[in-house]
Parts: sequence; structure tokens; C-alpha cells
Amino acid sequence: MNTCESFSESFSDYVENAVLPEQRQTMDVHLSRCSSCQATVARLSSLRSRLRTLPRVKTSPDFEAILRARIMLERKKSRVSTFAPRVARMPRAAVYALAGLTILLATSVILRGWQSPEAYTKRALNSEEFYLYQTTPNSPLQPTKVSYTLDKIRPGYLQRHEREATAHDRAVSPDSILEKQTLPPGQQLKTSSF
Amino acid sequence: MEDSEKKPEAHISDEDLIERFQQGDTNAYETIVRRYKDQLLNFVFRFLVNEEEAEDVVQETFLRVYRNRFAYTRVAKFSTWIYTIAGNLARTELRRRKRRRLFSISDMGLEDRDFEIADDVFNPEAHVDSALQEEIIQREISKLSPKFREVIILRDVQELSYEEISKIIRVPIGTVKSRVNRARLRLQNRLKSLLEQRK
Repeated sequence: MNTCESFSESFSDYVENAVLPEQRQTMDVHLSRCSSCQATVARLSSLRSRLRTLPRVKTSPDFEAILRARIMLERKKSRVSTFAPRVARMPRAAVYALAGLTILLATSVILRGWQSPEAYTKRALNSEEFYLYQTTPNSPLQPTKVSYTLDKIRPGYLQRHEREATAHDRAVSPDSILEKQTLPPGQQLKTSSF
Repeated sequence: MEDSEKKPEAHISDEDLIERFQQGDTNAYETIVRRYKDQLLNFVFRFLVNEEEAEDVVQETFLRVYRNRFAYTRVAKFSTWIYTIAGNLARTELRRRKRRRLFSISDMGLEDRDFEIADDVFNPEAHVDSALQEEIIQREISKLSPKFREVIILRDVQELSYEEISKIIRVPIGTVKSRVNRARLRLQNRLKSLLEQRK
């Protein structure tokens, strides 16, 4: 490595005045004799000042507004995605249990939705159990509770049945008779304990 | 804390601002954005030489600061931290840009080489206009490899200390000094005519 090359390693320190006094002295001696190094040092000083004075670019006027919008979007996203990591952290058994419970709940809701109360009543009226109940009072198939609508009942059946019930209710509670008499037509009448 | 709350924005240190932001003060974050947006853009723009891409990188830098605010600890200077984020993102953008480009000799990744191709066609003497001269300087900066480009921008354009640059790019101070010196020597050699013309 010649003198110029070895000095060139310290040129930056030299133009920044960051060399030790004795090193500076040695370099000054060299520069006074070497026009090439002298020109290089001059260009380096010029370059530094040119770079320092390069025009500064500025952000666009809507920079902050865009940033604010991006942050809001980020916040929204993080709110949505918080559920997934929570589930991921849960024990596997708990996740399965939660999923099973959800399926069970959904199935029961769907099944209930398919059968309206009217359908239940029709089924009760048309079922074999109801027929047996009507024909054989002491049958073991006789249900303990039946629900039906007033307009579906054959004429004479309710009067006969009510007479029996009234006689029984009178002995138990006079209020229950009043309740039965004030039921609006078409509403379901529930009779119990036949 | 009460004392610092009374201080006008300009007198609050970056470190105090980020601490306030960590405690939930979003105004402190906005002050940080206002304080750093232009200087970061200047740094990234000189590095990427594309204002639109540079602004995207700066936006992403502030988003990272927002997202990772609790990752900052007072051990490091805030400016070092934010410059490191911006520098990393700018380098990533350079790599992405390189992948996007077609493989040709004109843009086969000058930024990834430690050597530069001599530009014989270009004659700086023909340009006298200062705006053009700035463009020439910028063009020559962009021809440096990223490791030289980054240090010369941080040192001579952004005027950061060697110590700070060393922390930002995570290399020893000696290496930073050596890179700055080599980058300057290359630039002065390429801009000979322009730099001598100014004398």
C-alpha cells in the first residue's frame, strides 16, 4: 500500500477534523506535496457540503390523515381477530365441548321450528294413544295430560267432560271454575288429571 | 410526569413522548409523527429514490411504532429505534423491487453489489442547473451499494453521529467509519467534474 492509499483511509476523518493533531500534521505534509490527494480532499469537502444542502423532501399533505385511517383499520382488524387466538389458546377438550353444545343447541332450535303448536295438537288428536284414551278409560296407554283446541272437539264431548270437571272442581276450589268459564274461544284449554 | 405534561411539545424528549404514548396518550404519538415524518421521508427517499414508495415505507414505519410501542425500552434512543425500523423496511422494499424487475443489465441490482459500473455515457459537466446537479448527485448515491448508500445518507444527509449510525445498522463504529469513507471516495470520484466546477 503506497502513501496515498494509506492516507485515503483517513480522508473522511481529516475533512471532519476528527484526526489526532500529530496525524493531521503528517497528512498536511503529504497533501502539500501530493496534488492528487489534495484534489481528492477538496472534492470530499465539497461533497460533504453538497450532501448536507440537498433539498429536503416533505410528506404529502394527507400523510397524517392516511396514517390515522390505517391505524383505525388496524384497530378494527385486531378487535375482530381477538376471538380466534382466544379459541386457539383453549384446551382441546373445552373447544370440542363448546362445539358440541353449539350443535346440540342449533339442532333443538331447528327441530322446534319445524313443528308448530298446531301440528302438536293435530298429532295429539289423530294419534292412536288419543283414540285409545277415548275408548278405553282404564287402559294403561291412557295419557295423564292432553292438550287440544276447542274447535277441534266433537260436539257434546266438552259439555260432558266439563260437567264431570265442574263437579270435581266445586269440591276443590270455586276459583278454578271461574277460570275455565272465562277462557276465550279458540284458545287452548288444558285439562289435567283425568 | 406532571412537569413533563406542562412542557410545550417542542421541549419534550422523544423518549418522554413514547413513554406517554405507552401510557395511552395518543397526542404524544401524533407529536412523534409530526417530528419524524419529514426527516424519515428524506432518509428513505434518498435511499429508494422514489417518493411514493418512500412515503409508503414511512407510513409503515409509523404503523410499526404504533403496533410495537411496548417493544421500545429507554435503553436505546428513540431516534435510533425509529431509524432502524425505517431502514429495515427500506431495505426490504429494495429487495422487493429487485424481485419485481425483469432481469436486465440496466437494473440487475446495482444496489446489491459492492462495486459499481463506471458511467461513461453520463457527462456531469453538461449540467449546470442546480436542480439537475442535485439529480445527478442523487443518481450517483443510488448507484452505491445499499450498505454504502445507507451510511452516507445517515451521515452526510441526515447528519447523524457515527455512534447513532452504528446502533441503527448494528455494525461497529469502525466499520461505519470505513464504509462512510469508501462511499465518499466513490462519490467524489464519480462526481469529479461537478464538485470541481463548484469550487
